[in-house]
Parts: sequence; C-alpha cells; structure tokens
Amino acid sequence: MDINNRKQEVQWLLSSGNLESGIKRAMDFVKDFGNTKQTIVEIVELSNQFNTNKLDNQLTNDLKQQITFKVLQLLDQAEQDFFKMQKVGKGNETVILLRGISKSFPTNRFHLKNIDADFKLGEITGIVGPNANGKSTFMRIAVGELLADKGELEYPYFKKGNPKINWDTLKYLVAYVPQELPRWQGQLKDNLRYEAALHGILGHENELEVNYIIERLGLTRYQNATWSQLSGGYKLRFALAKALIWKPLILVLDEPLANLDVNAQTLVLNDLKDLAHSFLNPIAVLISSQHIHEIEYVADNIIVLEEGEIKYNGKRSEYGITNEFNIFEFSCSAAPIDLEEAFADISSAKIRSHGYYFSLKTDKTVSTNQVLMALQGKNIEPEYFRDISRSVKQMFLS
Amino acid sequence: MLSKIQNFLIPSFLKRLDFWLLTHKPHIWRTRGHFVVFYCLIAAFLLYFLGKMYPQNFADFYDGDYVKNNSVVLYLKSFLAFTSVGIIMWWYSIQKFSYLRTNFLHFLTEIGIYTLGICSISLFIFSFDHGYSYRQAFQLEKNSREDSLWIVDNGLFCYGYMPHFQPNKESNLAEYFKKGENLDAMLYNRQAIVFNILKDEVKDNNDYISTSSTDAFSYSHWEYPKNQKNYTRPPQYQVPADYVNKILTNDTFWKQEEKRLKFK
Repeated sequence: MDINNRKQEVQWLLSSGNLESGIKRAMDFVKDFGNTKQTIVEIVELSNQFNTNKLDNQLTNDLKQQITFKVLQLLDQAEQDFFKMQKVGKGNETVILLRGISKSFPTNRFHLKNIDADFKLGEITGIVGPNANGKSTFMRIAVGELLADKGELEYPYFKKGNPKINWDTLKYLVAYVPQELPRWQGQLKDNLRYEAALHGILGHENELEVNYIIERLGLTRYQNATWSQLSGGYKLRFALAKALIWKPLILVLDEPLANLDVNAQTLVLNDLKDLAHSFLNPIAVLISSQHIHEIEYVADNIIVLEEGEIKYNGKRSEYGITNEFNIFEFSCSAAPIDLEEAFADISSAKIRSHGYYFSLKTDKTVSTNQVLMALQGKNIEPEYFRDISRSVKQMFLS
Repeated sequence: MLSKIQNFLIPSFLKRLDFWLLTHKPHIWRTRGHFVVFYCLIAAFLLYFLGKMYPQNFADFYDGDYVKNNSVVLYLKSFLAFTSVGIIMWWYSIQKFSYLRTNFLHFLTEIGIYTLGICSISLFIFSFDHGYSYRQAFQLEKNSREDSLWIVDNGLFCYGYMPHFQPNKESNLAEYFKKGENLDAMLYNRQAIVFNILKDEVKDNNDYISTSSTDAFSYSHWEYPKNQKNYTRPPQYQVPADYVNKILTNDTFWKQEEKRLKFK
C-alpha cells in the first residue's frame, strides 16, 4: 500500500468516526513516513489524550474534533517529510530459507519430513494443522531454537551485510511469543523499558518507543498495572508489545489466539497485520493457530502441516484456484433429508454432516447465490454460512 | 498498598537512579545491585548502633575466651540471619527479569555488581559486631583503668611472681596487704623486677598491655575485682599502656611506694 492509499485510509477512518482505529493507523503513518521525533511525540500525546479521556468518559465531540484536526495536521507533516527525505522501505526480502528440513523424535514416533519454506519481510505466514502435527517444532527449527536432523537453514537477509553472523546473534534478532506466556514481574511498563534497553534503545528514545507501543496497541489503561491484573487478551497484547518494541525482523507467535475472545482476536490480528506490513520496519511473521478462518484473514501465506508433512505451502489468495469444485459449510436446524431435497436441483451437490454443521461440495460452476436460493426455496434458514472453496479449511473436513 | 510502601521506602534519588539504569544500563539494572548496596549500607549503619546499644555484661569481658566465643556465635548468627536471607532475596529479585544476551564487558560488570552486593550484605556482620566491640573496648578500657588504679594504688602488682605470697583460700593479696603484713627489702627488689618487665611490655604495646595467666596482674588478683565471677583460672586484663607508663615514669609514685614498703 503506497503513501497515498495509507493517508486515505486514515482520513476515511477519522471521517467515519472511528477515531480509535484512525489514530492507530495515523501512528503507523507518522512512524513510517515522518522524519522527526517531534511528530512521533505529538501523535503519541494525542493518542494518550484520546485514550485517557475515553477511559474517564470525558471524550466530548469538541475534543474529538480537536484531536482529529491535529492528527490530520501531523499526517500532512509526515507526508511532507517523506517527500522531502525520499525514505526507502526494506522491501520483501527473504529472511529465513528452509530446504529439505527433517526432524525425528523417535520416542513419540514423530517425523517432520522434508520441509521447504521461505519467509519474507512484510509477510505473515499462517501455520495451521491439527494438534501434535509439528507446527511448534517447525517454527522452532525455523528460528534456530531447535536443530534439524537434516536440511539447510539460512538467513539470507542477515548474512548479506555480515557473512560471519553467528547463531547467538541470529537468535537475538527473533522475537518469540510462546503459547504459555511467562508471568511478568514488577510494573508492566518497566518490563517494556527493560526489553527496549536490552536491544539498545536507550534514554529518551527508550521512553518514546515504550509510550509509542503502549498507545499503538491500546494498552494505556493497564500500563501501570501488574501481570496478575490483566485478562488473557491484554496479557497477549503486552507480550506482543514486548516483542515488537525493538522492531524485530522476525516475529514468531505460537498459538496466540488460543485463549482470546472474538474482540481480542480481532484487535490482535488487526494490529499484527498493520505492523507486519510497515513501510519502514516490515516484519516476517510466523503465526501458528487452530483458528483457520481468523489466520486466513491476516495471512499472506499459508502452510498446512499434517503428520509432519506440508500439505499446502503458498499464497493464501492462490489456494483452491485450480480446484474443479466449490465447498460450502453451513449450519441449520433442518434434517439431512430436507437438505437433500433442497439441493436436488444441483446435480453435483454432495452433503456431509460434521455434527453441528454440514458441508456441501458442488461443481465449480455453482455459486454461493445458488446454494442460498436452494435453501430459501425449502424455507431453510441457515444459522451460519461460509464459502470455503478458497480456504484451507476444506482440508480439515473429516 | 505495596506500591505505596515502596514509594515511601525508596528515596527519590534512588528512584531516579533506578530509572536511569533501567533505560540506559539494563544489565546493571537487572542485578538490583543499587538497591542492595543502598539498603545494606543503611542497615549496616543501624546495626552498628544496635550493636553499641546491645545489652552487655561487662564482667564477662575479663574472660578472653568468653569474648572470643561470643564473637564466633555472633558471627554465625549474623551470617545466618542476614547474609543467607539477603542473598536469597536478591536471587529471587533477579529471577524476575528474563536474561537475554550479554557481552563479555556486561558479564564482567555484572560480576562486579554481584561482588559489591555480596560485600554490602556481609557488612551486616561486621557492622553489628563492630558496634558491639566498640562498646566492649570502650567499657573495658574504663573498667581496666579503674581496676589498674586500684591495683597500682594498693601496690599489688608486684607480688604475683613471689611464690610465698601467692593467694590462698583464706585471703587474697589485697586483703593481705590491707592487713599490713610484713614486707621486706626483697619485696622492693622484686617489685623493681616486675616493673622492668612491664616497661618492656609498654615498649612493645602502644595501646594495651595484655595480662596473660602468667602475668603479675592476673596472679595477684585471682578474686579481684568486684565484677569478677568465680573463674577456674586467672582472668586476663587489658591494661592501658599509657597508664602503666605514667606510673612507671612517675618518681613521686616510686618514692611513695619505696617509703611505704620500707617503713610499713
């Protein structure tokens, strides 16, 4: 997305009254395209003003207008800076390259077989598959946490400038958010300051980056809280803040959505998508999850692992293009026999029950409209309906 | 509530230092050495005064073994009470923050901080004991001076070496002397010999003259002074050297003594 589209997106969010998202995206914009620390300080202060007033129920329309006006001014400022300085982004360079990776665990008869994969800056790769099928093992090998038995593992982007770069340094460049989050001690903000300082972000810059990430991820309310006072969603968001504060090039998230409610999932995934696709600091994100639809929403690439083997590895948007069939999943209160009658006119239709929902496989020529019309024709109201013809979900239908 | 207590206990300069270390020197900050050193110094200072105020039985000071044994017990108690607890608490606080990567300089710095911290924690031991010993020494000097005055004023220090004047069950030398027993020229000569011994001791010791079990003072005052408990062997005194020296060089004293011994 170029600078004009990015600016229009922020303007649209602000004008449509979605100030919270608008400020977040404006922060990304200023960070990516602005050139002075002052603009970042100002946008952080505006965000803080917005969030604190919102928490205190003192967000008047006048204040909203004032904030919107100032945000737009900062957008213009950042845009001018960008055209003046001609900033260059990092582009989609490969950061991790795996070829023929294999790993065996003889004690539990698990084998990760002949894995090939590339991970690029600014791309989110979703790794999906049933439990105990090698997702975590695969990710740990990819980031140098676990040694493979066979195959090649390279980090071309890091080696480019420094051919003698060692494992220790490489591991230092990877941000890892485990499934079971370890407890934080002390004030949450101090933890963020510490993490940033460990990665060389010192002094005023440290404070600026900490305030930025707190505001950017909407953590203002809990910045002075302790770990035990947080819900599962906020714990993950703080863990994400800790991982992102030092602008890593590789971010690994192991089952981050497991304990989140729908709203929290949406927030986390939206933030992840925006930050990974940053112009100035793009990140290669590896995210494993059982939540296939949610992952598909943010992922640029999908890897499906089953029994330690890759069943699909490619662009999410390209999955299922060559299929000669369509698949729909839906739930309703009708009996299977009524559904058979409803789809009697669609000759290729095959209905299968999966317990509380059904799947319908048809020719490629059958559209969503036709299926819905067929249901309507028999007065069957679907409670849930999804076209999964382009989703890897169809690989998990039993 | 806990944060309010912390705010109260942490002075503002230490908060500023903590924040500066957190945002500039995270490897030092994570050791919490600055808190350890600061609070250990305060605790050492307080313990020093506590040591000085600690109830003491000054009669015990005459027994060198008692003082020595008591010190050992004190060291052990202090070590167990403060050092071990301090180190455990410090270790716990370090566990709070995950350790990432460090270079050799950071590693050396951390080792230095840990060493400084352990030394600070160990100050507990010395500070209490030092305060305790200070008072002991101060009081000992006072008691010793009083005793020495009494001893010298009564001309008793010279009799210890004389086998036929050893104290017995019935009476000690002080009473012997008070009763006005016969004294002869030999006693005077013997006194001179003892003084010569004392002179040598004064040359070697600037502060105190230690009286061992073979010393004249000890044998002379088996049951003296009034604070003395019933010991199975002679107690030891720490006699201020300058006082003894004054006596040894005091002509008036000598003349009085000579007169007293000769004509009594």
